[in-house]
Amino acid sequence: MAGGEERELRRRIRSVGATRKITRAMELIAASEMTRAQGRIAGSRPYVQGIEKVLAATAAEAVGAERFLGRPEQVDQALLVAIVSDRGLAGGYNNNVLRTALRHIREHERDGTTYRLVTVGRKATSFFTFNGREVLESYTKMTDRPTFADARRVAESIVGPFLAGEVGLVELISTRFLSAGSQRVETRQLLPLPAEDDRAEGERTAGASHRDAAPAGEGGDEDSSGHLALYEFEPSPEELLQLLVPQYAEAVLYQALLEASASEHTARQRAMASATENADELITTYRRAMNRARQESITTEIMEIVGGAEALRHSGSSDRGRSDLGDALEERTA
Amino acid sequence: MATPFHAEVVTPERVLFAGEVDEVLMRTDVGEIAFLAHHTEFVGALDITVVTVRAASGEEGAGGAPAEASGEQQRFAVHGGFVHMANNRLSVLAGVAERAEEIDVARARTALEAARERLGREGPPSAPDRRGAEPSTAEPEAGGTPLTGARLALLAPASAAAALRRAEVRLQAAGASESA
Repeated sequence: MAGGEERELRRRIRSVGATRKITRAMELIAASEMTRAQGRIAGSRPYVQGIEKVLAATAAEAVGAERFLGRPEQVDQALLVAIVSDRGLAGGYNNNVLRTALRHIREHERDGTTYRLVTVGRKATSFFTFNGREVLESYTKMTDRPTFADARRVAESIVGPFLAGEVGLVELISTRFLSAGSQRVETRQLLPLPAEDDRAEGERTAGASHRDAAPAGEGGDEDSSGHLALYEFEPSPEELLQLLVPQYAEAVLYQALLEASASEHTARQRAMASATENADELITTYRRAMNRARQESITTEIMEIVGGAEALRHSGSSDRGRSDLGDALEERTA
Repeated sequence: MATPFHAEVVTPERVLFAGEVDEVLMRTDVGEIAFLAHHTEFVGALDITVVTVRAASGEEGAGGAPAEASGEQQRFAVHGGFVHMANNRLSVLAGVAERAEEIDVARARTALEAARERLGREGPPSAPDRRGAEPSTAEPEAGGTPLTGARLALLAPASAAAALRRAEVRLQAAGASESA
């Protein structure tokens, strides 16, 4: 009879409590990792901005560097770098990136572009393999705390095919960390080096801004672009641009990895915070149900005892009045 | 005479150095270069090189007190990168760079040996033979189009020749000549 339900609820409370401990711990870890990642994003900014300055100065002067610069018109082979996490338990973090990536690929396949993938994060690898996409290279164990060496490894796998002319376009899809409260999935052109207006824009708008590198060559009409014309280059801007390709890719990938990592930790922190909250709620509900069950069983027991006593009183001699229950039982059995 | 100007050595992970300096020396793809204040706007690709920063002497920005003896020198081993000078601010941007005093000399020596051995095995695929820790000036010889200088540093960082250069430069920056 009673007790069964109570015991069951007590067991559930214990199990939810154990889960809650885990989610709470994960929440705290994610929060501290996020703070750390934010610091590293800030630390990487001077370098990335520096590389962008070099790129801007060089791109303005380089002649005949269309292969390395701007948005290619027609692309047969393209690479897409997708950055997600190795683990789940981060709410919609992985799915947002992966779904956007798949949509992006499908859209551009209609224009005759074949995409292959370079994935960072175990979740991306399994996702694209499942969807029957060709994964050229996949990296794991990077997203918890990305290092520059990690970015370098990823960059190697894309710079090689790009410089060899095997792919005409490399794009990057990852989660930008705008602030602790705001992250956004973003698709960016990585190679060829985006033209200036593209970079400033941040968001890629297809074909909108192909910048003509040609007129920048002759010094004549260069006055319009101000002081850029005064730069001295060592080696020539064209050669510099070629050297910038891997460096720029590394810098952007590094920042993307850091931002993705911060976003992942944020997403996980949020997911785990709400899981902890859920656990709290569940525990409250269960505890209420358990208390009610216990109360019920106590009430039932009392009712039974009282009922039994009543019955005894009626069946025993009436003059005895309301004797104590124990006496009644004793007498009955005697 | 030496007017101080702002210089920084920046890696992706952190800013290694930032401050007022009198002079910065390094080696670009083309050759040795020294930056003083008001150097013309400049963009260059760096070889694997030692970057020497001579910190501004006197009180910072005090109109450049002409102290010949000058402030302390700081050296950095820079594994290729870029240098950008504009508006009297100099940035050295390097994927990998180390402060001289943070260089592990023993490890650098080991790396040097390993690189020599590898280079011996692989042959000189991209770089001309360089002897000693002293980086000699440009030598675009050898068959084909050998990768040298910044091209070696930035396009083939994994090659044995690049590893050798890196080890040499690290030792040089640390002030430990390889024969010691």
